Amino acid sequence: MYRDLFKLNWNDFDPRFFENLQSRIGRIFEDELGGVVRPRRSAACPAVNFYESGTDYMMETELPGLDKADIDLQVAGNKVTFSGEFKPTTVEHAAFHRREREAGKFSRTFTLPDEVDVAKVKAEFRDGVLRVRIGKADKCLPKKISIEG
Amino acid sequence: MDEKINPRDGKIAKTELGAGPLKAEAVAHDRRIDTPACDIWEGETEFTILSDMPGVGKDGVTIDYEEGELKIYGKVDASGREGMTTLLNEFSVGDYSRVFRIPEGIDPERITAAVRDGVLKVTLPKLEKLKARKIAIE
Repeated sequence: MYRDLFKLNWNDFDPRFFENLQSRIGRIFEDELGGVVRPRRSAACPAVNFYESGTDYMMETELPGLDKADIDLQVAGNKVTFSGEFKPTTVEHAAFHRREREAGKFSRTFTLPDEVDVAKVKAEFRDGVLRVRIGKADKCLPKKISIEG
Repeated sequence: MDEKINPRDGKIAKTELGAGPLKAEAVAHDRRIDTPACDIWEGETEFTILSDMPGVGKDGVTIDYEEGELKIYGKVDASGREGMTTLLNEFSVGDYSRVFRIPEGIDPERITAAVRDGVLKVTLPKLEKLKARKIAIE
């Protein structure tokens, strides 16, 4: 039974395992020691910040090295989804000294507290940062009520 | 995967500490600095460094080479969120800085750099005399 555990299929072995291992170990050290390399990007799950004003939401995520044509962004109801892929660096006739920039596909979906207006979405990709401004639906905006009497 | 955003979580209290040049200076010294992730490879004629610096434009990059050390610095334009409250905060925005010890045999005069879509590329050509040469056997 235990023997099955060791029946690794080396054909399925991902050659990036050791490269990723290096950066993972590096991350442990730098978290503990305040240190050396802090890759901020996770290829499978890019970090996202959300902001809110009275009328808008704003999503911000860092996608360095991507082409804007390769980013898929969708907004519907109160959900925002973005997806894409960090392509691995490929070079010929060269030896890698370091490989810290992760490659891989990602897709993230967020549910916002209020419904949004699809007509009021503005997306901008500049210097590797995707910023999406999403207007709240009219029915979710506060309305000033005049008091009679 | 679906992630719900709760406006009551992760909200950051804002404290205004007055305005004017004094505050601007204090903020400038208080900038967070991250070490950017890099791919580095060595080809026949040069070393190349690719560095993830999202948020850094062409004008924000500073590169210094001195006594075998290459220092890269990327300044991030952190504006554009004025008057907004934070709902979810998975990353903090800061500048980037990293120093590399460069092996001997680099021609400092021919170092070039370019930044595109938040990725800095630095090319460090090797000195002519150190380039690998194919020796013909007679």
